[in-house]
Amino acid sequence: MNLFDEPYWQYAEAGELRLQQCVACASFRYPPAPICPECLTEEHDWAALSGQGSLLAWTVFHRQYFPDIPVPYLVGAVVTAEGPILIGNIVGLPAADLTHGMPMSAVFPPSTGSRRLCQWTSRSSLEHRT
Amino acid sequence: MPDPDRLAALRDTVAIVGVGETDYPADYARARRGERYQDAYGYAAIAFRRALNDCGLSRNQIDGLIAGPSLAGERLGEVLGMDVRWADQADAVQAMLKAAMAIHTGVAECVALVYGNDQRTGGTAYGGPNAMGGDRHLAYTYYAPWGLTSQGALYALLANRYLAITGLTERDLGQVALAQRAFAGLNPNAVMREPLTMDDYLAGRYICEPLRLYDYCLVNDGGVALIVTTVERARALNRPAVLLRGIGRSDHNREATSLRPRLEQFYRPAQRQAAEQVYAMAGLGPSDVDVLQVYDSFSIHVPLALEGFGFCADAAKLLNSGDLGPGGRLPVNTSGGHLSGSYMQGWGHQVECVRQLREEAGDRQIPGARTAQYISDVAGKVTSLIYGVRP
Ligand SMILES: [Zn+2]
Repeated sequence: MNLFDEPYWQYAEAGELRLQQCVACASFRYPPAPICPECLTEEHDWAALSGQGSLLAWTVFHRQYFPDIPVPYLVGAVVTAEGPILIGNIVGLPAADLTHGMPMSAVFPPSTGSRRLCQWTSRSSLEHRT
Repeated sequence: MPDPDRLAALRDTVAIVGVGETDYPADYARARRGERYQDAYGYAAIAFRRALNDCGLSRNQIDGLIAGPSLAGERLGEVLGMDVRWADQADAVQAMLKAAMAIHTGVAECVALVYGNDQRTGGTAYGGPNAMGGDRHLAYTYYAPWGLTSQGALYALLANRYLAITGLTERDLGQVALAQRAFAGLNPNAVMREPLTMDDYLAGRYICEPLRLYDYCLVNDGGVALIVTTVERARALNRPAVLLRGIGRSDHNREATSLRPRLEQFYRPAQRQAAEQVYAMAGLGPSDVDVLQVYDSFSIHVPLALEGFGFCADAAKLLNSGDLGPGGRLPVNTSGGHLSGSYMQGWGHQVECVRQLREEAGDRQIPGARTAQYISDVAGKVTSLIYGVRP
């Protein structure tokens, strides 16, 4: 973990999706960084994201690289409504149902490993459940 | 800003005069039997000895030494018994650039570029909690909590979106693996020489979908060395000199870990910049290239390079034309490349350029090859080199 990562994970533990946002130019920084890559200002807030986004790309892992993560599993890249691209596991629907650009929502399932993770599911599957 | 005149002054001033490689298939067979025959320095040293023999220079005439990224420069000099005026450390393309610059400025006259890797017998991990390269490419390890590591998985994400946008199919991608395997079958020093059919390719297991086993490079041990010197010195050696005609480079690192340039742009802006520079310096264009070598840790690199450097607008057509394989109009990775030949992280591709231009490539020789281009695009660091011989 990098020096500036800790707050991200503390918010995630509480079920919140927050990223560093520059106080000078409002740009988001992800992964967390010491300085704004747009305007080189250090000062930042940890701003809450809407948790909405769209699916940019995904892959299904068939080779097992981690002893505690059984295959196959789905990893997706989501463009958040605010702009930053976030990586997460796609939960609640199979790879066959995925389409590029489909609306996605952030979810924070109870932790199964050492950390509580921000994951993504399709907005429609979330609406069906609630 | 790029100054075409300054760059052009470097054109044809340095030459590759010696090349050496280790015995990839024999060493691969040893590794499969569980034998540890050499370490990275041993492979490097064998390749270096062969490169010296190839050019006829003696060791004490080498006054510059560049160690590959998997070697420590100090230990390499010690193993090779060499004191030099100038030394550095670099990956394949950067090594050639640095050698050219060192020779051009006069800090060295004869530079040895030496690479060795025991990645198979040494058990290098390219994915997982301790994935190689995470210290230089944060994205290789940053997403480990979600099980996303390895350059292969990142290129699988790219391929997922690239296929959807371009309409390229998994079968089209398979043509890359098939063409390179066909070349490997003509190269006695390629590791994987058995013919590969489309059925074989499609039956290959997925590693990270949509990339299959045959879309991934080999992991094998070996060493590569090249001797580079001034064109004047090369002439005196009475050996065919391969001249460095063009250099193109572009590093796009903004938002590298967020994967935005990878997934939204397929690194095209970086490829475009490197292409403009290399072709301007060489005074050539894609249609002048007789042999193309593309850094291919994964098959997907090939269509990206073909489109990004202007060889075609639509890679699918070119991939299915048969033009990339033996007998084709635009032969690519004629040694078998990383997929079927040997995974020497781009170093072997330089040697293959030399062998083709010297017309020493045996059964896989491209008749009348005068211009060879190398393209490397690793995570947005794009470099290209053009080599040529005087007619
Ligand atoms: Zn800012």
